[in-house]
Amino acid sequence: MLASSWIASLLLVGLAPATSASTAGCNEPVSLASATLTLAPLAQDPPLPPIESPDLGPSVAIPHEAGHRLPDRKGVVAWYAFRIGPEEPGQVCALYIRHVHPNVVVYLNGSWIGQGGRFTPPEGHLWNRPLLFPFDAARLSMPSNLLMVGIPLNGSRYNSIGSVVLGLERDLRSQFEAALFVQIRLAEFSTLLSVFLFLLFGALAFSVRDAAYRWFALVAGFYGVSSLDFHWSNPPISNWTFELMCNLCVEWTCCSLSLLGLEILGMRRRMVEIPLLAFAGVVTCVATVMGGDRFEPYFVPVHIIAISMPTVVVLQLWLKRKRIPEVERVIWISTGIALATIGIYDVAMQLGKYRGWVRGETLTLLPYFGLIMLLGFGGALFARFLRVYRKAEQANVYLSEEIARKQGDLEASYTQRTLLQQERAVALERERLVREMHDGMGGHLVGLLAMVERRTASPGELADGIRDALDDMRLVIHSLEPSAMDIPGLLAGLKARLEPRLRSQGIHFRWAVQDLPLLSRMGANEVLQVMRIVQESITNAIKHAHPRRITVRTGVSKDQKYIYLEVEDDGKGIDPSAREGLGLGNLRKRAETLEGEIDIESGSDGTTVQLRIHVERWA
Amino acid sequence: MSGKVHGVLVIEDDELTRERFMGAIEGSGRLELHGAVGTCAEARRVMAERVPDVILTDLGLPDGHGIDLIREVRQDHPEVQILVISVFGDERTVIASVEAGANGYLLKDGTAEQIATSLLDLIEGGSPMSPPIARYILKLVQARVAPTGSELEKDLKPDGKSPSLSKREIEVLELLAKGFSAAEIAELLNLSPHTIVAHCRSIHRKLDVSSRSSAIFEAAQLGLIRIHD
Repeated sequence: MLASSWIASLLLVGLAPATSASTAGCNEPVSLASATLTLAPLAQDPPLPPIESPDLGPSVAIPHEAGHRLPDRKGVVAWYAFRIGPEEPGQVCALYIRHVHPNVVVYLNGSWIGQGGRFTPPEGHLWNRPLLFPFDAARLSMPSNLLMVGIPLNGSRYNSIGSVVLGLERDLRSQFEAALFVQIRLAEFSTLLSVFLFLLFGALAFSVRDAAYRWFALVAGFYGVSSLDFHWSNPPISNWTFELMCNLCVEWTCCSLSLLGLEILGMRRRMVEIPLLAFAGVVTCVATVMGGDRFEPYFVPVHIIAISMPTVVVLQLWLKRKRIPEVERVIWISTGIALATIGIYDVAMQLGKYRGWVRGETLTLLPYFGLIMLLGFGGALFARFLRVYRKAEQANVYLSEEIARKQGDLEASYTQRTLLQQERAVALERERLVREMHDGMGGHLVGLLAMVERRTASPGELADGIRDALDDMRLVIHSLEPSAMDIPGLLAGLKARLEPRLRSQGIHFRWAVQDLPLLSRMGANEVLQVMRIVQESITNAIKHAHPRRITVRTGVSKDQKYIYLEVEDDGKGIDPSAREGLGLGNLRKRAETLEGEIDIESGSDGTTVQLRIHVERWA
Repeated sequence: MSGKVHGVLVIEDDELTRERFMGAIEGSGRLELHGAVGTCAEARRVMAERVPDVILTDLGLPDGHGIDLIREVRQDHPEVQILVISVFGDERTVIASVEAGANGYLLKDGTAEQIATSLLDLIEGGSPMSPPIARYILKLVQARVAPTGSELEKDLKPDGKSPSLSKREIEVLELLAKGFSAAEIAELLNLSPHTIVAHCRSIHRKLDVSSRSSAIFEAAQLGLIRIHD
């Protein structure tokens, strides 16, 4: 312990100047190694030194720990008196105290030279502050000058005085500046950094589903509060409350750190998490109820427990380092080990001071703890974030490629399907045409062939047969037209075609065609069957009934259930025995394919062929 | 009807068919054979000498397409009646012919008597418009009134004088498209057949020209309908 304290002073102030007699002036920097200590009540700020009896107190070695052995430490000032030899005027001397706590006031020969902070509440908390008090060498005019340094004894602090050096200001200024930077500025920087990281990772924790960011944000936040006392001089709350808050935040910082470590290891378990949080919670409640002044002796053991938790986690990090990606692993483990070392060192020092094992000047590493922790863990988490981000980006690239590929496949299969459908449609249409030609024109031609071969038919009969064949072929061709689905339109075409023929035979063609409801489910084939029925009925009438008038009528039944198409003539009617020979059976077959009905009424006053088609079936 | 005798030029490469038409024309007192040729070149030569009243042409000719010939004749002689000889009278052939400037079509397989009757009907307006042609004009008119907001309307609106058919005229067109003859329409609408024929003429006139085919041609030119869609 003594060794480390020695190393610490070496670190802080460089080579320690040689101790010399207390009667020297300030020409050479000299450590004032001993002083007499007098305790006097604190009456005012600044307090006045007890000039009457400065030498009555006991002689003590400097640096000196004043606080912990005093029965009542409140409202008392510890006065250290130094005897200093004469000095020629014309120089600027300075008194440099390497670190002092909490505040200090300096008198030379009874006159005030400087003060570190206030003595009345709320007092300052700058317990690690280096101070430099320059003064004119002319003040050291007497053969023996009395330098008095007063420290308020405050219950919440160790009330120590570090090395006291007297020398020329120009010699001491650089030492002071270096100590100020290391002890104060770095600490301030780490606190500011913690606030920044708290905000940054806090925001990240809200938008990223990784709990590590949340725990790190809490680490930064708690650490920021726990180190507030480094540079918040005069908080508007009592010393004890402030002290309590800062100390409790050490516990919470350790707790969050442990949880962060477990999260990084992927070892987060309720069974671990709850005891950790319960520990910090119980300590907080107990300390708050007891009050900072009464709980103070327990802070050291509590800190030891708190620091042991992340220490164990660091051990885990080391044991299970394979779980962590390589770049992050190095940062986590090296930072973790550094922090564990610092924590153990600081707690040991604090314990040593309490127990009196350690005396004199010691170094508190806590401010550097924060800096290392925030930079190290923050960096590791940032690396983690980048890794995840890069992974997500790669996944995005992969996904978009996959989507493009799938889309290409889909388009290809769609094109192929469309092509197949088209081919199928063409094949179906071709099949239909072949069937139609076979049933229609084919039949007519075969019949004509028989007539020619039997040599029984007259040229007129042959012409009629050929016209029938042509008529049927026209129907087939018209069924290919864009407007083929429109029955009235096709009927109109039929009429235009047949009319000259009827007129040349002196037959009057009556046209009573009404609009029909759209039968959207009727295909070209069905429409063609309708047209064939109508056409055959008309040609049958022309050929066999010798009518004077043929009427074509279309309409919708009264109940709207079916449409009808009617061919009526006023001819001689059909001989019942000749019915089938006239192709009436054919008409029925066609009507069946339409799921429709056909009625043929024939008498001496004419024939009516009516085709009925159910609207519901085809609409 | 008037006693005028119409000179007919037959353009048909199939000899037998040509002779059937020649026979039908010569057998009718009201028609006179102006000439009968089998190629476009011969037809042009005959027309260069004297222009016939009526041209009866096949579409598939050995030295060219009948459609081109129709377009040519229509441009030089708007007053000539042009009829197309068709086996099937199918929509595609009829509309393509009408677009080129034909006035109507005639089926190939009619008897001599039927051919002569049809010819006279077409020439003198007894059967004012065959259903496919009526349907085609109707489509043009509907395309024009339909609020499509297309190029069509833009084309029509600026001059403000685009002809619109009356309700009655559209009614007549619709009935023609359904296959009713002038006489039947007259009966249905309680009008005289002459009025129906007059309506037909009015429809042609409103489409801004004297000849019915160029009316259609013009409508197509105006962008009233996209013929080659």
